[in-house]
Amino acid sequence: MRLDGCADDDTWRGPRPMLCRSTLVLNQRQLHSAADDLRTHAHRFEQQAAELDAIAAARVGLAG
Amino acid sequence: MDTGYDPHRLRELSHRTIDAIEGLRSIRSDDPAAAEALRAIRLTRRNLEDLWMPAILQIIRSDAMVSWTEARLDHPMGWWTGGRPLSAAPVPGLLRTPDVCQWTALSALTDDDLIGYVAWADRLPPNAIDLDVLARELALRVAGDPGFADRLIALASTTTLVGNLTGRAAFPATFLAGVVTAMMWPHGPQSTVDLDGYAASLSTALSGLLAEPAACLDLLLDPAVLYGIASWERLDTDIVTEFVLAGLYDAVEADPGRLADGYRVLATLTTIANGPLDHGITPGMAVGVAGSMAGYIPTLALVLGFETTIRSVVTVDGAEIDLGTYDELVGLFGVVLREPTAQAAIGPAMSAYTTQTVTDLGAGVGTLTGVEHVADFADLLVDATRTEGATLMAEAVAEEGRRRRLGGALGFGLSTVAGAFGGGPAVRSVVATAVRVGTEFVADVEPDTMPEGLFGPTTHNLITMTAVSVVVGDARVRRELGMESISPRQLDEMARRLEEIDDETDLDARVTKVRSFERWITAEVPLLDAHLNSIRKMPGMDALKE
Repeated sequence: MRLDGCADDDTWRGPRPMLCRSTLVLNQRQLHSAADDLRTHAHRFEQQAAELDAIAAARVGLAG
Repeated sequence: MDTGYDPHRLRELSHRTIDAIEGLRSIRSDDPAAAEALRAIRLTRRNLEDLWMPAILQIIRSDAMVSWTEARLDHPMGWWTGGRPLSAAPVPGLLRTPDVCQWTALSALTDDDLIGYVAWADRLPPNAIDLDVLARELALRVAGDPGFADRLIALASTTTLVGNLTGRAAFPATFLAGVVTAMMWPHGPQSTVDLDGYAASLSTALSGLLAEPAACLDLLLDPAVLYGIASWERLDTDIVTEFVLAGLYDAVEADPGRLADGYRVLATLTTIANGPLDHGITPGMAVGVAGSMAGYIPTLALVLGFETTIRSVVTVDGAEIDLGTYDELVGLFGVVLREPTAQAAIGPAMSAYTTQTVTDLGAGVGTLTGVEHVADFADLLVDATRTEGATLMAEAVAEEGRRRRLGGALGFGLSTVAGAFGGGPAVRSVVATAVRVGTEFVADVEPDTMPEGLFGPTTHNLITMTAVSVVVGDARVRRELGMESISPRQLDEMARRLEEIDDETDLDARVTKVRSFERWITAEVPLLDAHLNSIRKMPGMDALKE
């Protein structure tokens, strides 16, 4: 999302561009927040998977 | 507050925004964990589409800060109109930046701007716009808004773009019919319209209706449309042929209740052919009418009146349709049969009618009424070609090779036609085949004439040979006629000779074989000979031999 860089005051200025830009900034924050949530979820899932792998390996070791 | 913009950077911004919209649109996931992220993506995309892009386009369209336009009040039809009527819509600024004409830009336009865009888009350089995208956007709005459709139809006669675009997306038949009607209005002698381009555009709109035979018939009922199709030779001949076949034949085949409308079209065409177009009609119209005759001869042949003052009036479902006097019908078929391909197309229709009539009469063919109607219609065709004959013969010399091929196209087709006569579509396919054959041979040779009187002797022979084939193929008919004594060997011989005649493509050789067969019948099967003699004495048969 590099639109904000192309949409600065050098490109257009006025009330409407300001509204567009601020809405875009809001959207970008929402997207970044959603992306952070997804990363957090992914990180948690990976941790759980690693823990499950470790438990499984320990049980195999005990059985052996 | 300070207000301003940089046109170049703004155009770059519009391109990047379109890329961003497309990129956001392509992101998909079925994972429930991604639901919130997808909602944020959807919000962002809608913001860009609904708020951001319209604002950018609005600024791009405005030329207030970069140029000005001279009023040119003393020349209201200035260079940019090309002599066309001034459009009610203003010239949209978008035209000056065709590079932003992507789907997003079009879908963001108001109806007014889009109409204005269509009015001027054909002034742009080739490939400046994506016509498929434009056509799809227009088709969407036409389907959802009759008012928009009417405005676009009103533009059809001032820009070829509307007709051309009908071939690039699925438009409703009512809209296509409106475009055809609007474009059929003639342009005056002062017009600067590119006539070839206009005809191609109109042909495209006509071709869009081929899958809607009822709509084709509706249009043919409009005298202005009928006259246009019958007279304007720049229209695509193949498309006109298919259009007329669809309206006059397919529509009636699908809904027999529309036969009266078909006759109304023929009545108007008779008037035209005996008036402003007595010098000839377009090849497409001629072939279309000739090919459609398979659906009309059985009822038309019954009402032919040969007296000058008697009018041929056909009654269909209680409606009386006046087709004109015999001479006027001769005039109609005269201009139709001037077209060589039309001559080839009407042959199978005539053969089909003859075969069915003789087959239906069975044993009663020599005594019951029926054959005279076949003879009457064949007479009409003979008179039509004879009337045209003097002019035609003066224009060109008949070519022997082509004459033979034409004879082949007319043909006996005893087995083909008899087998095909189970239903209308089959006959239609026979007609279509003949039209194709006719088109192919016409493409090979210079236009000349059909030998005068070919329809008469051919039909005469067709009647007698069909009668023989009915006797050979139907034991019940032989019993009724008291011909049980015909031996299996004689039946086999007659079947063999009929097949031989059927296979013969050379007209003269076929006539020779028919004569030889008739002599054989006289000598070997006197009962059948007597039967054929009774047929030859039916009203009208003598005239066919002239």
